[in-house]
Amino acid sequence: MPRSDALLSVRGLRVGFDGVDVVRGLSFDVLPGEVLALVGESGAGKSLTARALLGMAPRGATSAGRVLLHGSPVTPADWGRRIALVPQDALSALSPAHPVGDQLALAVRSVQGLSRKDARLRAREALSEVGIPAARSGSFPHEFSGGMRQRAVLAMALVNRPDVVVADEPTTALDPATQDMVLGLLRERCSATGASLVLVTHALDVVRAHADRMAVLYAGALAEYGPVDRVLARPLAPYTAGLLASLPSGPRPPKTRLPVVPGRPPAPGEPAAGCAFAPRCARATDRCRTERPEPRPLDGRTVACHHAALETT
Amino acid sequence: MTPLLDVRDLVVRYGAATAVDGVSFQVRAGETVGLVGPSGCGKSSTAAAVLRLRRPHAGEVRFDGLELTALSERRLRAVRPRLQPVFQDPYGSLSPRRRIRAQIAEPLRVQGRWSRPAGPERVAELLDMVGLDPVLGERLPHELSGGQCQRAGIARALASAPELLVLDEPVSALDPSLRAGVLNLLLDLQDRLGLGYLFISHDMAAVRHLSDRVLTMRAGKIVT
Repeated sequence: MPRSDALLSVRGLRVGFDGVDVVRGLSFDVLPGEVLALVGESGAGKSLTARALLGMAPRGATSAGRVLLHGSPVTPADWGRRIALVPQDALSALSPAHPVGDQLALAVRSVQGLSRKDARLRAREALSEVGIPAARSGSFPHEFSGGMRQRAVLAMALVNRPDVVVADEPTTALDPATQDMVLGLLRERCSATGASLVLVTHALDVVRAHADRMAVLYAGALAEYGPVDRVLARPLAPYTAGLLASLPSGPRPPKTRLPVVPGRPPAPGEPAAGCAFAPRCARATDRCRTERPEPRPLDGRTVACHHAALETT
Repeated sequence: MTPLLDVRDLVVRYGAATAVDGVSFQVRAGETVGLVGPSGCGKSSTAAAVLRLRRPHAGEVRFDGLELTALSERRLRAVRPRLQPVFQDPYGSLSPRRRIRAQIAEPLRVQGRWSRPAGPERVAELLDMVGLDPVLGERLPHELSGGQCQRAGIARALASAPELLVLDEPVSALDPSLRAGVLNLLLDLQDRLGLGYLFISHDMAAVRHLSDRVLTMRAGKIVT
Protein backbone atom coordinates (compact mmCIF):
# COMPACT_ATOMS: atom_id res chain seq x y z
CA MET A 1 0.00 0.00 0.00
CA PRO A 2 2.13 2.95 -1.15
CA ARG A 3 1.12 6.09 0.65
CA SER A 4 1.34 9.38 -1.15
CA ASP A 5 2.06 11.21 2.10
CA ALA A 6 5.15 9.11 2.86
CA LEU A 7 8.38 10.96 3.62
CA LEU A 8 10.51 7.88 3.23
CA SER A 9 9.25 4.85 1.37
CA VAL A 10 10.79 1.39 1.23
CA ARG A 11 9.73 -1.06 -1.46
CA GLY A 12 10.88 -4.66 -1.86
CA LEU A 13 14.07 -4.11 0.13
CA ARG A 14 16.48 -7.03 0.12
CA VAL A 15 19.89 -7.11 1.78
CA GLY A 16 22.05 -10.18 1.83
CA PHE A 17 25.49 -11.72 2.01
CA ASP A 18 26.93 -14.38 -0.29
CA GLY A 19 23.64 -14.93 -2.06
CA VAL A 20 21.69 -15.40 1.18
CA ASP A 21 19.14 -12.67 1.88
CA VAL A 22 18.89 -11.53 5.48
CA VAL A 23 16.32 -8.83 4.70
CA ARG A 24 13.89 -10.63 2.41
CA GLY A 25 11.64 -8.17 0.66
CA LEU A 26 10.45 -5.39 2.98
CA SER A 27 8.01 -2.62 2.13
CA PHE A 28 6.96 0.12 4.50
CA ASP A 29 6.63 3.89 4.78
CA VAL A 30 7.81 6.50 7.23
CA LEU A 31 5.27 9.32 7.54
CA PRO A 32 6.17 12.95 8.28
CA GLY A 33 6.66 13.60 11.99
CA GLU A 34 5.88 10.08 13.16
CA VAL A 35 7.82 7.66 15.35
CA LEU A 36 8.01 4.31 13.59
CA ALA A 37 9.49 1.40 15.54
CA LEU A 38 11.29 -1.41 13.73
CA VAL A 39 10.93 -4.34 16.11
CA GLY A 40 12.56 -7.72 15.90
CA GLU A 41 14.94 -10.18 17.49
CA SER A 42 18.63 -10.60 16.74
CA GLY A 43 19.06 -11.68 13.15
CA ALA A 44 15.67 -10.34 12.10
CA GLY A 45 17.41 -7.76 9.90
CA LYS A 46 16.59 -4.62 11.90
CA SER A 47 20.03 -3.05 11.78
CA LEU A 48 20.61 -3.92 8.13
CA THR A 49 17.26 -2.31 7.32
CA ALA A 50 18.12 0.77 9.39
CA ARG A 51 21.37 1.20 7.51
CA ALA A 52 19.66 0.56 4.17
CA LEU A 53 17.39 3.54 4.91
CA LEU A 54 20.50 5.72 4.75
CA GLY A 55 21.85 3.85 1.74
CA MET A 56 24.62 2.41 3.91
CA ALA A 57 25.34 -1.26 3.34
CA PRO A 58 28.02 -3.20 5.21
CA ARG A 59 31.02 -4.38 3.21
CA GLY A 60 30.24 -7.39 1.04
CA ALA A 61 26.47 -6.93 1.26
CA THR A 62 24.23 -7.04 -1.78
CA SER A 63 21.01 -5.13 -1.83
CA ALA A 64 17.95 -4.71 -4.02
CA GLY A 65 14.70 -2.80 -3.87
CA ARG A 66 14.04 0.91 -3.49
CA VAL A 67 14.41 3.38 -0.66
CA LEU A 68 13.08 6.80 -1.61
CA LEU A 69 13.35 9.94 0.50
CA HIS A 70 11.16 12.81 -0.78
CA GLY A 71 10.79 10.62 -3.89
CA SER A 72 14.47 10.20 -4.71
CA PRO A 73 17.17 7.70 -3.70
CA VAL A 74 19.22 8.50 -0.60
CA THR A 75 22.83 9.49 -1.28
CA PRO A 76 25.69 10.31 1.09
CA ALA A 77 24.98 13.98 0.36
CA ASP A 78 21.73 13.54 2.32
CA TRP A 79 23.47 12.25 5.45
CA GLY A 80 23.12 14.57 8.37
CA ARG A 81 20.94 17.09 6.57
CA ARG A 82 18.00 15.01 5.35
CA ILE A 83 18.53 11.71 7.14
CA ALA A 84 20.76 11.03 10.12
CA LEU A 85 21.79 7.96 12.10
CA VAL A 86 22.03 7.57 15.86
CA PRO A 87 24.28 4.52 16.08
CA GLN A 88 24.09 1.64 18.54
CA ASP A 89 27.33 2.34 20.36
CA ALA A 90 27.56 5.90 21.64
CA LEU A 91 31.19 5.67 22.65
CA SER A 92 32.51 4.63 19.25
CA ALA A 93 30.39 7.28 17.51
CA LEU A 94 32.46 10.08 19.05
CA SER A 95 36.13 10.69 18.46
CA PRO A 96 38.06 10.39 21.71
CA ALA A 97 40.67 12.85 20.46
CA HIS A 98 38.58 15.99 19.93
CA PRO A 99 36.35 18.13 22.13
CA VAL A 100 32.67 17.35 21.61
CA GLY A 101 31.87 20.91 20.48
CA ASP A 102 34.55 20.75 17.77
CA GLN A 103 33.14 17.46 16.49
CA LEU A 104 29.68 18.98 16.25
CA ALA A 105 31.00 22.12 14.55
CA LEU A 106 32.80 19.97 12.00
CA ALA A 107 29.57 18.07 11.32
CA VAL A 108 27.82 21.40 10.74
CA ARG A 109 30.52 22.78 8.44
CA SER A 110 30.76 19.63 6.36
CA VAL A 111 27.03 19.78 5.63
CA GLN A 112 25.95 23.41 5.74
CA GLY A 113 29.03 25.36 4.75
CA LEU A 114 28.64 27.88 7.59
CA SER A 115 31.51 30.00 8.84
CA ARG A 116 33.63 28.61 11.66
CA LYS A 117 32.03 30.98 14.09
CA ASP A 118 28.45 30.22 13.06
CA ALA A 119 29.18 26.49 13.11
CA ARG A 120 30.54 26.78 16.62
CA LEU A 121 27.42 28.69 17.68
CA ARG A 122 25.17 26.06 16.14
CA ALA A 123 27.19 23.31 17.90
CA ARG A 124 26.71 24.98 21.29
CA GLU A 125 23.03 25.42 20.56
CA ALA A 126 22.69 21.74 19.60
CA LEU A 127 24.34 20.72 22.87
CA SER A 128 22.04 22.87 24.97
CA GLU A 129 19.05 21.45 23.07
CA VAL A 130 19.93 18.02 24.49
CA GLY A 131 20.54 19.40 27.97
CA ILE A 132 24.32 19.69 27.89
CA PRO A 133 25.46 23.16 29.04
CA ALA A 134 27.15 25.01 26.19
CA ALA A 135 30.04 25.60 28.59
CA ARG A 136 30.84 21.88 28.31
CA SER A 137 31.41 22.04 24.54
CA GLY A 138 35.17 22.08 25.14
CA SER A 139 35.03 18.76 27.02
CA PHE A 140 36.22 15.46 25.59
CA PRO A 141 33.83 12.46 25.40
CA HIS A 142 35.65 10.65 28.25
CA GLU A 143 34.88 13.59 30.53
CA PHE A 144 31.14 12.95 30.06
CA SER A 145 29.01 10.40 31.91
CA GLY A 146 27.39 7.58 29.90
CA GLY A 147 24.07 9.40 29.72
CA MET A 148 25.70 12.68 28.64
CA ARG A 149 27.72 10.88 25.98
CA GLN A 150 24.53 9.37 24.62
CA ARG A 151 22.97 12.85 24.55
CA ALA A 152 26.02 14.22 22.74
CA VAL A 153 25.51 11.54 20.08
CA LEU A 154 21.89 12.67 19.75
CA ALA A 155 23.11 16.24 19.32
CA MET A 156 25.45 15.02 16.58
CA ALA A 157 22.54 13.40 14.71
CA LEU A 158 20.27 16.43 15.20
CA VAL A 159 22.75 19.25 14.64
CA ASN A 160 21.89 19.68 10.96
CA ARG A 161 18.13 19.39 11.55
CA PRO A 162 17.46 16.27 9.46
CA ASP A 163 13.99 15.28 8.20
CA VAL A 164 14.42 11.68 9.34
CA VAL A 165 16.41 10.35 12.30
CA VAL A 166 17.18 6.64 12.33
CA ALA A 167 18.10 5.41 15.82
CA ASP A 168 19.57 1.91 15.94
CA GLU A 169 18.97 0.56 19.47
CA PRO A 170 20.33 3.80 20.92
CA THR A 171 19.72 2.81 24.52
CA THR A 172 20.31 -0.93 24.93
CA ALA A 173 23.42 -0.38 27.06
CA LEU A 174 21.71 2.07 29.42
CA ASP A 175 19.65 1.35 32.52
CA PRO A 176 15.87 1.80 32.22
CA ALA A 177 15.67 5.28 33.78
CA THR A 178 18.45 6.68 31.55
CA GLN A 179 16.96 4.80 28.60
CA ASP A 180 13.63 6.49 29.08
CA MET A 181 15.25 9.89 29.49
CA VAL A 182 17.31 9.52 26.29
CA LEU A 183 14.37 8.23 24.22
CA GLY A 184 12.07 10.90 25.61
CA LEU A 185 14.61 13.56 24.69
CA LEU A 186 15.11 12.13 21.20
CA ARG A 187 11.38 12.08 20.62
CA GLU A 188 10.95 15.59 21.96
CA ARG A 189 13.73 17.00 19.75
CA CYS A 190 12.29 15.26 16.68
CA SER A 191 8.84 16.62 17.33
CA ALA A 192 10.26 20.11 17.95
CA THR A 193 11.80 20.13 14.47
CA GLY A 194 9.07 18.05 12.83
CA ALA A 195 11.50 15.23 12.03
CA SER A 196 10.36 11.62 11.67
CA LEU A 197 12.01 9.06 13.91
CA VAL A 198 12.71 5.45 13.01
CA LEU A 199 13.42 3.62 16.23
CA VAL A 200 15.08 0.21 15.98
CA THR A 201 14.56 -1.91 19.07
CA HIS A 202 13.85 -5.39 20.37
CA ALA A 203 12.01 -4.14 23.46
CA LEU A 204 8.23 -4.03 23.23
CA ASP A 205 7.95 -1.78 26.30
CA VAL A 206 10.08 0.82 24.49
CA VAL A 207 7.73 0.57 21.51
CA ARG A 208 4.68 0.96 23.72
CA ALA A 209 6.09 4.05 25.43
CA HIS A 210 7.63 5.85 22.48
CA ALA A 211 6.30 4.85 19.05
CA ASP A 212 3.23 5.76 16.97
CA ARG A 213 3.46 2.86 14.54
CA MET A 214 5.45 -0.34 14.51
CA ALA A 215 6.78 -2.79 11.96
CA VAL A 216 7.43 -6.23 13.43
CA LEU A 217 10.17 -8.08 11.54
CA TYR A 218 10.68 -11.81 11.67
CA ALA A 219 13.52 -13.42 9.75
CA GLY A 220 13.92 -10.41 7.49
CA ALA A 221 10.26 -10.08 6.53
CA LEU A 222 7.29 -8.11 7.80
CA ALA A 223 5.09 -10.03 10.24
CA GLU A 224 2.81 -7.19 11.28
CA TYR A 225 2.82 -3.45 10.61
CA GLY A 226 0.49 -0.80 11.92
CA PRO A 227 -0.48 1.59 14.75
CA VAL A 228 1.17 0.63 18.06
CA ASP A 229 -2.01 0.76 20.15
CA ARG A 230 -3.86 -1.43 17.68
CA VAL A 231 -1.11 -4.04 17.25
CA LEU A 232 -0.29 -4.31 20.96
CA ALA A 233 -3.93 -4.37 22.06
CA ARG A 234 -4.82 -7.11 19.60
CA PRO A 235 -1.88 -8.67 17.76
CA LEU A 236 -3.04 -10.58 14.69
CA ALA A 237 0.20 -12.19 13.47
CA PRO A 238 0.91 -15.36 15.49
CA TYR A 239 4.51 -14.23 16.06
CA THR A 240 3.49 -10.85 17.52
CA ALA A 241 0.83 -12.56 19.65
CA GLY A 242 3.28 -15.17 20.97
CA LEU A 243 5.90 -12.55 21.76
CA LEU A 244 3.44 -10.40 23.70
CA ALA A 245 2.02 -13.35 25.61
CA SER A 246 5.49 -14.46 26.73
CA LEU A 247 6.34 -11.15 28.43
CA PRO A 248 6.55 -11.41 32.22
CA SER A 249 4.88 -8.00 32.52
CA GLY A 250 1.42 -9.35 31.77
CA PRO A 251 -1.27 -9.50 34.45
CA ARG A 252 -0.45 -12.88 35.98
CA PRO A 253 0.44 -14.15 39.45
CA PRO A 254 4.16 -14.18 40.24
CA LYS A 255 6.11 -17.41 39.75
CA THR A 256 3.62 -18.87 37.28
CA ARG A 257 5.02 -20.35 34.08
CA LEU A 258 5.03 -18.03 31.06
CA PRO A 259 3.62 -19.04 27.68
CA VAL A 260 6.63 -19.80 25.50
CA VAL A 261 7.14 -19.40 21.77
CA PRO A 262 8.71 -22.81 21.05
CA GLY A 263 11.90 -23.20 19.05
CA ARG A 264 14.24 -20.40 18.03
CA PRO A 265 14.42 -17.82 15.25
CA PRO A 266 15.80 -19.26 11.99
CA ALA A 267 19.37 -18.59 10.91
CA PRO A 268 19.78 -16.58 7.67
CA GLY A 269 19.10 -18.79 4.66
CA GLU A 270 17.26 -21.30 6.85
CA PRO A 271 13.67 -20.40 5.91
CA ALA A 272 13.64 -22.11 2.54
CA ALA A 273 9.99 -21.88 1.56
CA GLY A 274 6.73 -20.76 3.05
CA CYS A 275 6.28 -18.69 6.19
CA ALA A 276 9.48 -18.30 8.22
CA PHE A 277 7.53 -18.57 11.47
CA ALA A 278 5.74 -21.82 10.48
CA PRO A 279 8.10 -24.20 12.39
CA ARG A 280 7.26 -22.37 15.65
CA CYS A 281 3.60 -21.65 14.95
CA ALA A 282 0.73 -23.60 16.51
CA ARG A 283 -1.55 -22.62 13.63
CA ALA A 284 0.78 -23.66 10.81
CA THR A 285 -0.69 -25.79 8.01
CA ASP A 286 0.78 -27.27 4.83
CA ARG A 287 0.03 -24.02 3.06
CA CYS A 288 2.22 -22.11 5.58
CA ARG A 289 5.09 -24.50 4.94
CA THR A 290 5.00 -24.09 1.16
CA GLU A 291 3.59 -20.67 0.35
CA ARG A 292 5.03 -17.48 1.75
CA PRO A 293 2.25 -15.22 3.10
CA GLU A 294 2.09 -11.81 1.44
CA PRO A 295 1.41 -8.82 3.71
CA ARG A 296 -2.28 -7.93 3.48
CA PRO A 297 -4.46 -5.27 5.11
CA LEU A 298 -6.52 -6.42 8.08
CA ASP A 299 -8.17 -4.44 10.87
CA GLY A 300 -6.30 -1.20 10.25
CA ARG A 301 -2.85 -2.74 9.96
CA THR A 302 -0.87 -5.02 7.66
CA VAL A 303 -0.41 -8.69 8.52
CA ALA A 304 1.63 -11.39 6.77
CA CYS A 305 -0.12 -14.61 7.80
CA HIS A 306 -2.39 -17.01 5.93
CA HIS A 307 -4.54 -17.59 8.98
CA ALA A 308 -4.79 -14.21 10.67
CA ALA A 309 -8.42 -13.16 10.83
CA LEU A 310 -10.69 -11.14 13.02
CA GLU A 311 -12.66 -13.50 15.19
CA THR A 312 -16.27 -12.42 14.86
CA THR A 313 -17.32 -13.14 18.40
CA MET B 1 15.95 -21.96 60.53
CA THR B 2 19.30 -20.56 59.43
CA PRO B 3 18.90 -18.60 56.20
CA LEU B 4 20.88 -19.93 53.25
CA LEU B 5 22.50 -16.56 52.71
CA ASP B 6 22.77 -13.91 55.39
CA VAL B 7 24.47 -10.67 54.37
CA ARG B 8 25.10 -8.13 57.12
CA ASP B 9 26.33 -4.53 56.84
CA LEU B 10 28.25 -5.29 53.65
CA VAL B 11 30.65 -2.57 52.47
CA VAL B 12 32.52 -2.76 49.15
CA ARG B 13 34.95 -0.01 48.18
CA TYR B 14 36.94 0.67 45.03
CA GLY B 15 39.69 2.98 46.23
CA ALA B 16 37.96 6.01 47.69
CA ALA B 17 34.60 5.20 46.09
CA THR B 18 32.07 3.21 48.14
CA ALA B 19 30.04 0.96 45.84
CA VAL B 20 28.15 -0.93 48.56
CA ASP B 21 27.47 0.99 51.73
CA GLY B 22 26.13 -1.19 54.55
CA VAL B 23 23.80 -3.66 52.82
CA SER B 24 21.97 -6.38 54.77
CA PHE B 25 19.56 -9.03 53.48
CA GLN B 26 18.80 -12.74 53.65
CA VAL B 27 17.92 -15.44 51.13
CA ARG B 28 16.26 -18.63 52.33
CA ALA B 29 16.28 -21.99 50.56
CA GLY B 30 13.65 -22.12 47.82
CA GLU B 31 13.28 -18.35 47.87
CA THR B 32 14.04 -15.75 45.21
CA VAL B 33 15.21 -12.32 46.31
CA GLY B 34 15.29 -9.75 43.52
CA LEU B 35 17.88 -6.97 43.59
CA VAL B 36 17.16 -3.99 41.34
CA GLY B 37 18.42 -0.45 40.87
CA PRO B 38 20.05 1.87 38.34
CA SER B 39 23.49 1.29 36.80
CA GLY B 40 26.23 1.84 39.33
CA CYS B 41 24.00 1.41 42.39
CA GLY B 42 26.12 -1.48 43.68
CA LYS B 43 24.03 -4.51 42.62
CA SER B 44 26.82 -6.34 40.85
CA SER B 45 29.37 -5.38 43.50
CA THR B 46 27.06 -6.96 46.06
CA ALA B 47 26.92 -10.12 43.93
CA ALA B 48 30.71 -10.16 43.56
CA ALA B 49 31.12 -9.90 47.33
CA VAL B 50 28.57 -12.65 47.95
CA LEU B 51 30.47 -14.91 45.55
CA ARG B 52 33.72 -13.77 47.17
CA LEU B 53 34.99 -12.74 43.74
CA ARG B 54 35.83 -9.54 45.59
CA ARG B 55 36.72 -9.31 49.26
CA PRO B 56 34.36 -6.85 50.97
CA HIS B 57 35.81 -3.98 52.98
CA ALA B 58 33.55 -4.68 55.92
CA GLY B 59 30.51 -6.72 56.91
CA GLU B 60 29.63 -10.38 56.88
CA VAL B 61 28.51 -12.84 54.24
CA ARG B 62 27.22 -15.98 55.94
CA PHE B 63 26.40 -18.94 53.75
CA ASP B 64 24.51 -21.67 55.62
CA GLY B 65 25.92 -20.23 58.83
CA LEU B 66 29.52 -20.11 57.57
CA GLU B 67 31.24 -16.71 57.46
CA LEU B 68 32.80 -16.42 53.97
CA THR B 69 34.58 -13.08 54.10
CA ALA B 70 37.32 -14.33 56.42
CA LEU B 71 37.72 -17.76 54.85
CA SER B 72 41.06 -18.78 53.32
CA GLU B 73 41.08 -19.62 49.59
CA ARG B 74 41.57 -23.26 50.49
CA ARG B 75 38.58 -23.43 52.85
CA LEU B 76 36.57 -21.36 50.39
CA ARG B 77 37.12 -23.97 47.68
CA ALA B 78 35.00 -26.43 49.62
CA VAL B 79 32.11 -23.93 49.82
CA ARG B 80 32.25 -22.49 46.29
CA PRO B 81 30.36 -25.34 44.59
CA ARG B 82 27.39 -24.63 46.83
CA LEU B 83 26.92 -21.08 45.55
CA GLN B 84 27.19 -20.62 41.80
CA PRO B 85 26.90 -17.64 39.48
CA VAL B 86 24.99 -17.34 36.21
CA PHE B 87 26.04 -14.28 34.22
CA GLN B 88 24.51 -12.07 31.57
CA ASP B 89 26.44 -12.99 28.45
CA PRO B 90 25.68 -16.62 27.58
CA TYR B 91 28.55 -16.86 25.09
CA GLY B 92 31.08 -15.01 27.23
CA SER B 93 30.39 -17.33 30.19
CA LEU B 94 31.57 -20.40 28.30
CA SER B 95 34.86 -21.15 26.61
CA PRO B 96 34.39 -20.77 22.84
CA ARG B 97 36.78 -23.65 22.07
CA ARG B 98 35.42 -26.51 24.14
CA ARG B 99 32.39 -28.69 23.60
CA ILE B 100 29.39 -28.03 25.81
CA ARG B 101 29.56 -31.45 27.49
CA ALA B 102 33.22 -30.97 28.44
CA GLN B 103 32.40 -27.63 30.05
CA ILE B 104 29.52 -29.08 32.05
CA ALA B 105 31.78 -31.98 33.11
CA GLU B 106 34.51 -29.65 34.33
CA PRO B 107 33.07 -28.85 37.79
CA LEU B 108 32.60 -32.59 38.35
CA ARG B 109 36.23 -33.26 37.42
CA VAL B 110 37.60 -30.38 39.47
CA GLN B 111 35.63 -31.50 42.50
CA GLY B 112 36.81 -35.09 42.09
CA ARG B 113 33.33 -36.38 41.37
CA TRP B 114 34.07 -37.66 37.86
CA SER B 115 33.93 -41.36 37.07
CA ARG B 116 32.69 -43.58 34.28
CA PRO B 117 29.95 -44.22 33.48
CA ALA B 118 28.40 -41.99 36.17
CA GLY B 119 30.09 -38.76 34.92
CA PRO B 120 28.81 -38.78 31.34
CA GLU B 121 25.42 -39.90 32.60
CA ARG B 122 25.30 -36.93 34.98
CA VAL B 123 26.17 -34.55 32.10
CA ALA B 124 23.33 -35.99 30.00
CA GLU B 125 21.00 -35.67 32.96
CA LEU B 126 21.99 -32.02 33.50
CA LEU B 127 21.45 -31.22 29.82
CA ASP B 128 18.06 -32.84 30.00
CA MET B 129 17.25 -30.94 33.21
CA VAL B 130 17.78 -27.58 31.46
CA GLY B 131 15.79 -28.71 28.44
CA LEU B 132 18.68 -29.29 26.03
CA ASP B 133 18.85 -32.37 23.83
CA PRO B 134 21.97 -34.32 24.95
CA VAL B 135 23.23 -34.32 21.33
CA LEU B 136 23.74 -30.56 21.75
CA GLY B 137 26.48 -31.48 24.25
CA GLU B 138 28.67 -32.26 21.26
CA ARG B 139 28.43 -28.68 20.00
CA LEU B 140 30.59 -25.63 20.57
CA PRO B 141 28.94 -22.55 22.15
CA HIS B 142 28.72 -20.60 18.88
CA GLU B 143 26.74 -23.48 17.38
CA LEU B 144 23.95 -22.87 19.91
CA SER B 145 21.35 -20.11 20.07
CA GLY B 146 21.61 -17.54 22.87
CA GLY B 147 18.84 -19.25 24.82
CA GLN B 148 20.42 -22.70 24.42
CA CYS B 149 23.79 -21.31 25.43
CA GLN B 150 22.35 -19.68 28.57
CA ARG B 151 20.75 -23.04 29.43
CA ALA B 152 24.16 -24.70 29.03
CA GLY B 153 25.61 -22.11 31.42
CA ILE B 154 22.89 -22.94 33.94
CA ALA B 155 23.59 -26.68 33.48
CA ARG B 156 27.25 -26.04 34.28
CA ALA B 157 26.29 -24.10 37.41
CA LEU B 158 24.02 -27.00 38.44
CA ALA B 159 26.83 -29.55 37.94
CA SER B 160 28.26 -28.37 41.25
CA ALA B 161 24.99 -29.28 42.99
CA PRO B 162 24.59 -25.71 44.29
CA GLU B 163 22.11 -24.52 46.89
CA LEU B 164 22.22 -20.86 45.88
CA LEU B 165 22.40 -19.36 42.39
CA VAL B 166 23.51 -15.75 42.01
CA LEU B 167 21.81 -14.71 38.78
CA ASP B 168 23.30 -11.48 37.43
CA GLU B 169 21.11 -10.33 34.51
CA PRO B 170 20.60 -13.93 33.35
CA VAL B 171 18.05 -13.12 30.63
CA SER B 172 18.98 -9.57 29.59
CA ALA B 173 21.03 -10.65 26.59
CA LEU B 174 18.34 -13.01 25.32
CA ASP B 175 15.82 -12.28 22.61
CA PRO B 176 12.27 -11.81 23.90
CA SER B 177 10.98 -15.08 22.44
CA LEU B 178 13.73 -17.04 24.26
CA ARG B 179 13.51 -15.14 27.56
CA ALA B 180 10.26 -16.73 28.78
CA GLY B 181 11.72 -20.22 28.32
CA VAL B 182 14.75 -19.48 30.53
CA LEU B 183 12.58 -17.78 33.19
CA ASN B 184 10.32 -20.87 33.25
CA LEU B 185 13.40 -23.08 33.56
CA LEU B 186 14.59 -21.11 36.61
CA LEU B 187 11.15 -21.52 38.22
CA ASP B 188 11.11 -25.27 37.49
CA LEU B 189 14.61 -25.82 38.87
CA GLN B 190 13.75 -23.94 42.03
CA ASP B 191 10.67 -26.13 42.55
CA ARG B 192 12.59 -29.34 41.91
CA LEU B 193 15.82 -28.59 43.73
CA GLY B 194 14.75 -26.06 46.37
CA LEU B 195 17.41 -23.58 45.19
CA GLY B 196 17.71 -20.10 46.63
CA TYR B 197 18.14 -17.33 44.03
CA LEU B 198 19.65 -13.89 44.30
CA PHE B 199 18.28 -12.38 41.09
CA ILE B 200 19.92 -9.17 39.93
CA SER B 201 18.43 -7.34 36.97
CA HIS B 202 17.31 -4.12 35.31
CA ASP B 203 14.30 -5.95 33.98
CA MET B 204 11.63 -5.03 36.53
CA ALA B 205 8.97 -7.24 34.94
CA ALA B 206 11.19 -10.32 35.07
CA VAL B 207 12.29 -9.57 38.65
CA ARG B 208 8.73 -9.06 39.89
CA HIS B 209 7.63 -12.23 38.16
CA LEU B 210 10.35 -14.44 39.64
CA SER B 211 10.90 -12.96 43.09
CA ASP B 212 9.33 -13.54 46.47
CA ARG B 213 10.81 -10.24 47.65
CA VAL B 214 12.36 -7.34 45.72
CA LEU B 215 15.07 -5.10 47.18
CA THR B 216 15.86 -1.78 45.51
CA MET B 217 19.37 -0.34 45.74
CA ARG B 218 20.38 3.23 45.20
CA ALA B 219 23.89 4.64 45.66
CA GLY B 220 25.12 1.58 47.54
CA LYS B 221 22.22 1.27 49.97
CA ILE B 222 19.03 -0.76 50.02
CA VAL B 223 16.21 1.78 49.94
CA THR B 224 13.19 -0.54 50.00
